[in-house]
Amino acid sequence: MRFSLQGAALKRAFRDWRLHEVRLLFLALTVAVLSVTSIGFFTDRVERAMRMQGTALLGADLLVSSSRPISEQARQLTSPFQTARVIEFRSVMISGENSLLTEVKAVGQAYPLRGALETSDKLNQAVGTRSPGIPGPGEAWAAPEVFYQLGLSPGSMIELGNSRFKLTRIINFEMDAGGSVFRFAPRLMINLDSLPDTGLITPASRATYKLLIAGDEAQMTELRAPLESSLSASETLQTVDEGRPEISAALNRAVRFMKLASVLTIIIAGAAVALAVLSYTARETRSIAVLKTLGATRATLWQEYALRFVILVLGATLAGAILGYGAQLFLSRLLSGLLNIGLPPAGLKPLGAGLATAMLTLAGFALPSILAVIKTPPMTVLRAMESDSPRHGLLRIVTISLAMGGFLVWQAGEIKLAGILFAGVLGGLSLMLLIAWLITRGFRHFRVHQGHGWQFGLANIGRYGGRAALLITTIGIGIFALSLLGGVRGDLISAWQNRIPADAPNHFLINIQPAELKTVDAFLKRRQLDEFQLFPMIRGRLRAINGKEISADDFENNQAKDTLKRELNLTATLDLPFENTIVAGRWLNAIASGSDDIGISLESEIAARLGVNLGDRLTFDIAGQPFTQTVSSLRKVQWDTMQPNFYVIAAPEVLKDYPTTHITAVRILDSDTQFTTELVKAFPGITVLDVRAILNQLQRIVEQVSSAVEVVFAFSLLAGIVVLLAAIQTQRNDRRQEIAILKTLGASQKQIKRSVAAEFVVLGALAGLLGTGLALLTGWVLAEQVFNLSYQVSWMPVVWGVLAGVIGLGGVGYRVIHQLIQTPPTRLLQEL
Amino acid sequence: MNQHAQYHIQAQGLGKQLKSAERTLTLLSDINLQIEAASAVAIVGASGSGKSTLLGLLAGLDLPTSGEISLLNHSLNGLTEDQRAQLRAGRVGFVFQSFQLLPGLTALENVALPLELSGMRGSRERARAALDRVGLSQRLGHFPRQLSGGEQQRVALARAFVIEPEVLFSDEPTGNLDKQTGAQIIDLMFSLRDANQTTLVLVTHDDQLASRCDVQYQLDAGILEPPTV
Repeated sequence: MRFSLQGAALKRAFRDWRLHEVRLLFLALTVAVLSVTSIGFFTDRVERAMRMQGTALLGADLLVSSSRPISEQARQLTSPFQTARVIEFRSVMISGENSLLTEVKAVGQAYPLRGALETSDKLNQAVGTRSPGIPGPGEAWAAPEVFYQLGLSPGSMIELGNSRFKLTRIINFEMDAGGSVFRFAPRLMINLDSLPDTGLITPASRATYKLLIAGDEAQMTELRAPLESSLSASETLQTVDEGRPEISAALNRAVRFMKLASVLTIIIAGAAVALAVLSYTARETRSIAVLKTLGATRATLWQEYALRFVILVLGATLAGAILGYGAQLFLSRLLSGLLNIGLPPAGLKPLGAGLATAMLTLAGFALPSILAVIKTPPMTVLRAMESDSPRHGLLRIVTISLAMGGFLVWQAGEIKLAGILFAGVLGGLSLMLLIAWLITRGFRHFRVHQGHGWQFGLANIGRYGGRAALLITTIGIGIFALSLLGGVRGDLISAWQNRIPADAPNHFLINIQPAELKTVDAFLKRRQLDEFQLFPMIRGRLRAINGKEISADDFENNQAKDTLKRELNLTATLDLPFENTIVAGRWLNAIASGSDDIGISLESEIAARLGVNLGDRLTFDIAGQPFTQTVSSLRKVQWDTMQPNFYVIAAPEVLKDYPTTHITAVRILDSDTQFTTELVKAFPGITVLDVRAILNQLQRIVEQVSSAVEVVFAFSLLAGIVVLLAAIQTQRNDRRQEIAILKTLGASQKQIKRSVAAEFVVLGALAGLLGTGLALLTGWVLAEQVFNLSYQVSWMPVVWGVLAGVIGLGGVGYRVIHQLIQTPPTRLLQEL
Repeated sequence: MNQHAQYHIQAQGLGKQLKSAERTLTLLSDINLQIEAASAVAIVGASGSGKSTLLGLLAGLDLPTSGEISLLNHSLNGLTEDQRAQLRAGRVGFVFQSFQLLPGLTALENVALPLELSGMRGSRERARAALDRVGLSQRLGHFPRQLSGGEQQRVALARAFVIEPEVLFSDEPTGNLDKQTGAQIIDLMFSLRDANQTTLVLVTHDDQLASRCDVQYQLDAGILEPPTV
């Protein structure tokens, strides 16, 4: 006769919900799904927002740029979409007897199509407000430098060509300024309709004509190809590449933080799954043997249990995803305002990731136990038999490792990082288990005198060494999660926040001539500005790699194209700048001086973009002169430090014959309102860039992103709590028989209570010690090796960890066992 | 082996040994027996004599180290665990000393289980009727932990007989019950067996219980004495 499944099997599956173990399994899987989906929904939205942020950088989705007026074809092709026209050129503006070279931007109606300008109507405002619209006819908006250098204020009149304009607003922040905050001359913005009257633009004028285009994603994708092929020789099409580097650096770091926290959550939830499944299968062993005597085959049992686990996985995915969506809304609210644009709604993709997580977690952490229990011999109904073979132990290690490795690669996204983490997690766990086992061996020598209950408890640690070590490790994992949340996370985040110190530079001084160095130095020191460094700045365009001429067309990658189209910043110094690290080769001063070829140090990302390696020879064009050097080191630069950073660094002697200006960054107090005015008066050639708006934004990002990261770490906390509950549940089952027998043998309730309490308090304290120890180690490794942050170890988490262990196991565990102690031994044995 | 339709169980030269690193433990040696259809056979012996091991072998729950067994005219030798399970399905019932009810299922669900697993129709109605026959029609929705030992064993009897088995294996069915309840259970078991004409194989150390069977075998340290009728 063949067995088949009926609706009754479904009913039996739902009956399972009454078991603590199944509810714990559900909870552990839900937490894993919650952590993956919330981050999935969130990063999905952020990534799309970052793309939109990128569009703000262009002021559009697509941009046609030309040295001649935009062609008729391009205008016709783009006419069905939203468009705006911009013309940029350099011109001298006049105010009374003073004049200043400015970069004029004449903007048409609807500008900008994406993003917004930040402007204000008062000088010395660190942050402007987002301005709708553009300057009215006869009005001009200008960068603060224009006001400072000419001593103007809002309301002043200026002349530009044949027209007069009233300066009405100060531009604090121009998102589409061109990727870099460094500009040749300060910005002056006017209305495109006012441009013809100035008489500045004639067919022979040097100007950049831009056509901004926006539409929905599908339309833009469709438009791209025909537009590209219709462009004239002078026209180029620009598309979105990536957002501003300092924002994307901060967000990328946050996303990495979150993803790691999420892997951690999954692994901890996995431990809870493994524990809960152990208890569950121990309980099911007898049922399976009975079902087999009734004629059930393994295939039938597989179907029976597969159905239960499918329901469990689907239920946990649904619950986790709903909670994840809610958590994501909360995360997004925390980060609202960060991106200056609303986040697009979340897509459904993370649902799949959630389902995959639940399946992988269950398969990795539970499958071997399920396999083992299904093999229970039917004879078990008649006498106890060994059902778990060492093969299953090995299989357990393999599947758990595969699942953990899979999650790490998936979430960390890079094999190397995943490898480090995998080794770390496995090493940490093994270390914990080993130390725990060694400690429990120490308790073997403990002897019981005069029948004191607590002595029984301590002796039990040695007698059941394996059980004690396992308990220490599982509770330790729970506490590891707790202490990561409680202590280490805080340290990590403050290490991150310290990256942008409160005294970070907020003004850049550029175009300092070599002859002015001493007087500028004296000027700054007079204003008690001591911590600044004057870097030579040489601008050069990359022309050839290993003697072979290159151009933007040689590269597919837009970032590489962009690198070749503009001039790069070079500097000359033998001191490795702050927050720069050599990732390959040797730093300049480590190479014998006097050698002809000390070479240059190249920023590592640009090297990767251009495919440049150590030993390649690069040729730059510096003001018409070739400059050729070998790459002797690759250097990682932290772009979000608000310090002058350089793509190329060479030894001073090799650059000494090239035209140089200098740059420095200083911190000016908000109260020092006269700094820029006085500096510009004394050194009219120096350009001062006020980056307070950017700095503020950066600090705001780190602050907001930190809170988001904390939310994600809270999921690890949840998973840690589930592990604690699951570990206690295994104890409830394990101890039932032991307590019943002790009671039948005449142990008093007091003796048993003291015995269990002593054992649990000691094991809890040990678990706390090991868990927090591992957390500190993890924090240190993460900070130093993964996030490039310097990490201060604080020992308070250890104290809290030990307390948590004592309370968690000694308190909660004791309460659970307490119920067993109150139950008559006959009932305990009956329920076995 | 000669297969006779009138024999539900036959064993020839049956032996079971357990091997460990140090020594080999012989649980059963050279057991020969034939159990006729619809007969009641008791296997009596002291604790550790190998009764449960023999019951397990006869029911196909385990395989012998040597010798041959046939159950319901199928040789069990060479069958996989699954094939043996399929042979039992719907034809063989069990009653155990420790009841072996599934704790998560109600009395009704426990009884319906073998029918549902075999895909039989009307499982709930038949289970209800079976529970009615053992006097538990008022306890259908109760879980095992809510039932007394005697009631649990009645549920186990209902579960065993609901499929109208050809063979019933019973391992110390009164071992966990007081004398009075035990006697009631035995009466019930025999009346159900008579009604169904089920072959009964009963393992017990209780001579009085054994005396109710048609044939009694004595098992002593793994060796089966000739039957007394």
